[in-house]
Amino acid sequence: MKHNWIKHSLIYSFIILLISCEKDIVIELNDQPDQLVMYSFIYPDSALSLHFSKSQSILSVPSYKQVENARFRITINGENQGTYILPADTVWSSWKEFSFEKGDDVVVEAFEREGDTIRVESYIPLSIPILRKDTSTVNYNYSEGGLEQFLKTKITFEDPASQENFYQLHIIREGFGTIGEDAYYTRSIVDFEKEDPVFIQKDQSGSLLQGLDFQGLFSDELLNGNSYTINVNIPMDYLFFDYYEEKIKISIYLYHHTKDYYDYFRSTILSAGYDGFYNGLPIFDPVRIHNNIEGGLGLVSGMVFDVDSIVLYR
Amino acid sequence: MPELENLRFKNILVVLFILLFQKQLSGQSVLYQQVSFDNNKGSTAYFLNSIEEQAKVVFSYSNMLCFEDDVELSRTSASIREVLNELFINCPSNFIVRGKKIIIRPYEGIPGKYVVRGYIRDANSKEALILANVYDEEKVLGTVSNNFGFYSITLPSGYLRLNCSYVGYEHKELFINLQSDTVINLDMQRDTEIKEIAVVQSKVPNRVKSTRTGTIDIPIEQIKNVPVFLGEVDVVKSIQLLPGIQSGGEGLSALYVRGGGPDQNMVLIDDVPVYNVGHLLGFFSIFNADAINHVSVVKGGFPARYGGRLSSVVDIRMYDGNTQDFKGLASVGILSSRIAAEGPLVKDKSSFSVSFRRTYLDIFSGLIQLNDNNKSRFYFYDFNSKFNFKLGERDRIYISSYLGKDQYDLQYNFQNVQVSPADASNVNQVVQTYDENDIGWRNEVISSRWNHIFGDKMFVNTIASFSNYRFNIGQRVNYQTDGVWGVVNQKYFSGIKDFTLKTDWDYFPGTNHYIKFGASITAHNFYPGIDVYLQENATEVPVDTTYGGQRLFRPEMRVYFEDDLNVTDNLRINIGGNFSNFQTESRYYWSAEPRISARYLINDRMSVKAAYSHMTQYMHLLRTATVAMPTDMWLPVSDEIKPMRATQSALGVEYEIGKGFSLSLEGYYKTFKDILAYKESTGYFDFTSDWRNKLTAGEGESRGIELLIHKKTGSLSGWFGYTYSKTTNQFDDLNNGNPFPADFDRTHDASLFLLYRFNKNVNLSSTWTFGTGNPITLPETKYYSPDLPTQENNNNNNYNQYISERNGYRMPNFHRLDLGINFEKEKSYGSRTWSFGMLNAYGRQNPFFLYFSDSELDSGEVKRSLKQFSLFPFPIPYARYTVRF
Repeated sequence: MKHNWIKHSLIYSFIILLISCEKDIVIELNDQPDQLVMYSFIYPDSALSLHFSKSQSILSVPSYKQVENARFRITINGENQGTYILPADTVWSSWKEFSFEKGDDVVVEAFEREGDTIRVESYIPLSIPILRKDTSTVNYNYSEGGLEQFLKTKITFEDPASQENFYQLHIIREGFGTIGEDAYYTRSIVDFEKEDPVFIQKDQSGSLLQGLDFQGLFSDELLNGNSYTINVNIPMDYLFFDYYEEKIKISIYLYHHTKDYYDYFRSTILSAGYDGFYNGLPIFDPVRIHNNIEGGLGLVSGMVFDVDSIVLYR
Repeated sequence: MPELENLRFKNILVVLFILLFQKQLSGQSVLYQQVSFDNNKGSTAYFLNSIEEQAKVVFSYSNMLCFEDDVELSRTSASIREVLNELFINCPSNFIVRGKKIIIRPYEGIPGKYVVRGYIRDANSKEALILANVYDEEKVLGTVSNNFGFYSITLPSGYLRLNCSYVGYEHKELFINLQSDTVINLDMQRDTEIKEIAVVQSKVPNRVKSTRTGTIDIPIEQIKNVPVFLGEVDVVKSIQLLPGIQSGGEGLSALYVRGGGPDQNMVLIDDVPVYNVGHLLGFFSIFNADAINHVSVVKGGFPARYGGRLSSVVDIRMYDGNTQDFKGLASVGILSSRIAAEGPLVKDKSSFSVSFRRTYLDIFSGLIQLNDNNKSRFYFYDFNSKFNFKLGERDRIYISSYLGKDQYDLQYNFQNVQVSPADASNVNQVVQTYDENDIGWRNEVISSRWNHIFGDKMFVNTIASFSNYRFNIGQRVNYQTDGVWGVVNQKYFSGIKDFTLKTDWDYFPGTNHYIKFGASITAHNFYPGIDVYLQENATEVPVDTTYGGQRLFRPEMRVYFEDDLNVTDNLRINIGGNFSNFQTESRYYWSAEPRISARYLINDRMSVKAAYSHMTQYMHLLRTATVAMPTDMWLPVSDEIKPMRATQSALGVEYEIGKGFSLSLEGYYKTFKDILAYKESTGYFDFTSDWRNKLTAGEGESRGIELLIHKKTGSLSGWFGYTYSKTTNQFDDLNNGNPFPADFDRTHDASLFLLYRFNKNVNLSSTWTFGTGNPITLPETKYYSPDLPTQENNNNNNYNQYISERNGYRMPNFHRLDLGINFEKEKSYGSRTWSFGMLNAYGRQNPFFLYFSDSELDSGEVKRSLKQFSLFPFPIPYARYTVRF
C-alpha cells in the first residue's frame, strides 16, 4: 500500500478545515526569448534520432514550437560529418547516415537560419559488463501482511576506478507465444524492489516515509571502483505466464550513463515527483531541469548497456 | 556578495545620527533640571544662588558644608545634580529633595556602602516580576531584576529613596535609612486603573535599562488580547507582529527573523530549548498563554549568555504559581478548551502552576464518522506544569515541564473476525478489527532548577534539563494466512533528544557592574530515522526488527562571560564572549563569539544603541518543503558540513515618549556564512544518497531598518512596527551562482496592534498587517520533454519548465485586519470573559501559494493561467468563553 495518503489526508483535512479558495492572478512574467531545444540519445550501432524545436511561454497551451529552416552539423571523434537540413514536420528525425561506436565523442551544432545557434558535446560511454548473475526465489513478509514471493537476483559488475560513473538498472519482461498462426508478443517494464543501498539510504528514509523512485538510477558513491553485487527483488507476478505465453524472457540491462543523462533524468523525476507528491500542491520549489545544450535547452547523450537474461518456459 | 550600497539604508543611518544629537527634555525630579551660568567660574555660593533663582528651589545645608571661593565647573550648562556633584567634589554630600527644598548633607567620613537585595514580586500572587527596575532616583543608581525576580544593588549608606517600577504595576517608593546590608522584597500592586501617565517619572530606569539593541519585551496581557485564528491565544503570532520578524506564510507559526530561517531561532521555555513550536502544521503555536509569565524576544545585540542560534532568542518564562491563594481558569473555544490552576502547596513556601489545553476536532469528526468505514481523528494538546519550593531565604528549587503532542489517526478495513481463545471456552467469539495508520509529533521538556544566593551579591541558577522532539508514522495491518490471523506493526520515527547541565551566575559587585557568567554541556542525540517492524500471529514466534536506528551523539559545550557596566553616567556597555565547542564524527568545531552592545544616553528620554555580535549554529533543520512539516528533521553539522555562522551589527535610537511608551528606530546589517540549502539536483524525498550529500553551503546578507512605537500602558496600548529590509543568498550550486532573494525576504513589513480599554470590563483589539509578497520561483517558458529510453513510467508531462531565476518573482502583497473584543464581568466566584473576534475582517484574499493551471473555456479552447491559493479568503469569526476563579 502506498503511504502518501498520510501526507495527502493531513494536508487536505487542514485545507478543508480552513476553507480555502483560489483565483486567477496576473503577474508580469519576464519576457524570455524562445530558446532552441535539442534532444538526442545516441546508441552504438544505431541510427541517429534528433529532436529540434523551440521553447514557448509557460502560459501557452502547446508544449513546444516547431522550427522552420533549421540545420545541424555533426562531428564524430573530431571528423565533421557534414551539415543537414532538419525537417520541420516531425517530432524526431532519423538519420541513418551516421554510425557510432562505444567511446565515440560527438559534437552536434544546430541553428535556425538567421537565428540562434546551439551546440552540445557528448560521448558514448564504454559498457560495463555484467560479470555474474544469480537468482533464487524467496518469500518476504510484506507490510500489508501475508507473504509475497520475489525472484531474488544478484548482479555483479566492476566499477571503473578512474572516473565518476553513473548507472541504471533497467529490467524488461518479454512474453512470447502464438495465437493460432500468429506470433504473440508482450513487453513490459519490471517495477522491481529497489532496496539495495545503491538505490536507497535506509537511515533516513523509513519504509513508511516513501521517497521518490529514481527508476533504478544510481551513482558510484558507494562503489569506489570495486566489484559490486546489486541485490534486486523481482516480484513473482512478472514470472507468471498469461494465457498465450509460452516463454518469458526477463532482461536485466545495466546502463552506463553519462553524467548529463543521469542528471537530466533525475531532475525530471524530481520535478514530476514533487509535482505529484501532494497532488500538485506547490509547497516545493520548482526543480531546475538539467541541461547540457550550450545556448539552448535539452539533452544530447550517448547511451550504452550490457544485458543478461533469464528465460522461463511454460 | 553585493556591497552595502542602498542609499535608503545610508540615509536612515544619517537620520539616526541627527536624532542622536537632538537635545530633549529632562526628568521630573528637580535634581535633573537643567541650569546654565554665564561663565563656569565663581564661588560655591554664587552657583547655589544662581540655581535657586533658575530652578525656584531653596537649599538647606549645615555649616559643616565646604564652601569655596574659587570653583571652576567643567561646563556652563548641566543638571542641578551634576553641578552639585562638582561643587562638593571635595566633601561628598547627600542631596535630598523635599518639595522645593534641596537638603545638602555632607557624609560623615567616607560613606559606607551596603547591599540591598531581594525579590520583586506581584503583591497578590508573589509571582516573580522579570526585568523590573529598582533604583535610587536621587543618586541615579539602579539595576533590574533577573529572570527569577531577584535583584541586588549596592548603595551608599544614609537616607535614600528606593524606587521600583514595572509595566502594568503601580510605582513603588520606599524611604529608607540604609545602615547595613538589607533584604527588601518588593511586592508590587497591579495597576488596575486605566490612566494615562503623561510624563516620565524618573530618568533612572532609562539609565539602568538594557544596553541591548533588537530586544523587545512584550507584556503577556497584550499577547492575550491579540485577535487570533479561532480564538487560540498565540504567543508566536504576537511575536510575528514585531518589526524584523515574519511568519513565512499566512497563518503559520514559523519565525523568520532578520533574514534568518526558522531553524535559526532559539526558543526557550524556562531555559530549555524547544525544537518544534508548531501544532497543526504550524498553524498554531505550542505555547499556552495561561502558563506564561514573561516573553522576551532578542533579534540582535545578543548578550553573551545566549548561544547556539544565528537569528533570535525567544525567552519564555512560565508562571511559578501563586503562593498565597488558589486560582483557576477554564476556557472554552471553537477549536480547544483550556484549564489552568495555581496555588500554594505550603503557603509562602511552595506553589504549583498547571495548565492543559486540548482540541476537540476528533470528537466532532468521531460523531460525523460514526457509521463510516473510514474513521479519522486529529487532536493536539499541551500540558504545562511548574512547581517551586522555597528551601530557605537563599535556596529555591523549580521543577517545570511541558508536554505537547499532535496526533492524526485513520482507521479503516473494519471487519468482524472469529477468534479461538486459548482456553477454547468460546470458540465462536467474534471481535472487530481494523487497520490503522497514524502520524504524530511531540515535544517533551522537563527541567529542574536550583537557585542559590551566595552572600548578597551572587545569584546562581543551576539547571538539569531534558528536551525531546519526536516525529512518528505508524501503520498496523491485520492479515490472515491459512486461516490464522496476525498483525503487522510498522513504525518510523525521527527526532532529537537533549540532556543539558547548565549553570548561570549573576554577580552584582556594585552599581557599575552586573556580571554574568556560566557554562553548559549538552548531550545532543539526533535520530535521523528509525524503523521498527513487529509481526505477530497466533502460531509463529513474533518477529521484532529494528533497522536504521542510527543515533548521532553530539556533545556541545559552552562557556560565557558578560559584564553590563556603566562606563560613565551616560554610557553603559555590555561586553562579553561566548565560547563553544561541538563534536562531530571525527572533528571538533569551536567558536569564540565576541558580543558587545552599548547604550549612550543623549538625555533622559533618548538613547542611542549600538551592537555587534557573532553567532554560530551547530545544527540545522532539514526542511521537507517550503512550509513547516512534521517530517522536518533536525540534524547536526558533520565532518563535511560546517557550522553556520552570522555576524550582526546594529545601530539604533530609542526615545521614551512617556512611561511605558517608547519609540525605537534601528538599522542592522547581518551576514551569514555556511548556511545550507538543498542542491538543485535533489530534495527531501530523494533517499538515494546520504543527507549530507544533498546539501550545499552558501552565504547570505540581510540589512534593514526597523521602527517600533510601543505603548504598554494606558487605555490605548499596542504597537506599530515597520520594517524595510533586504535579504539575499548566494550559493555556488544554486541559481547559476548568482545572488537571489532569500525565501522570506520581505521589503516592506508593517504591523499595527491596538488594544483599547473602554472600561474595566470591555476592551477592543485589532491588528492590521501588511507585507510585500514573498519571493517565489516561477518558470517563464516551457519546452519539449521526451520519453527517455530507459524510463520505467510514461512521461505524464510532455514539457519541462524553464526557470531563469530562483525567487525571481513576488507574490501579491499581503494585508489583513483582525478584530477582537472581550467582555469581562466580575462574578462571585471571580470573573468571566466572553471573547469574540473576526479574522480577516475585510475579506482580503492573500496568497498562500501560486501555481499554473489549465482550464477549458466555453469555446472548448484551453486556457493556461496563474492561480493564487488563499487560506482565509473571507472573514472568519471566533468566540471563546473564559472563567477565572
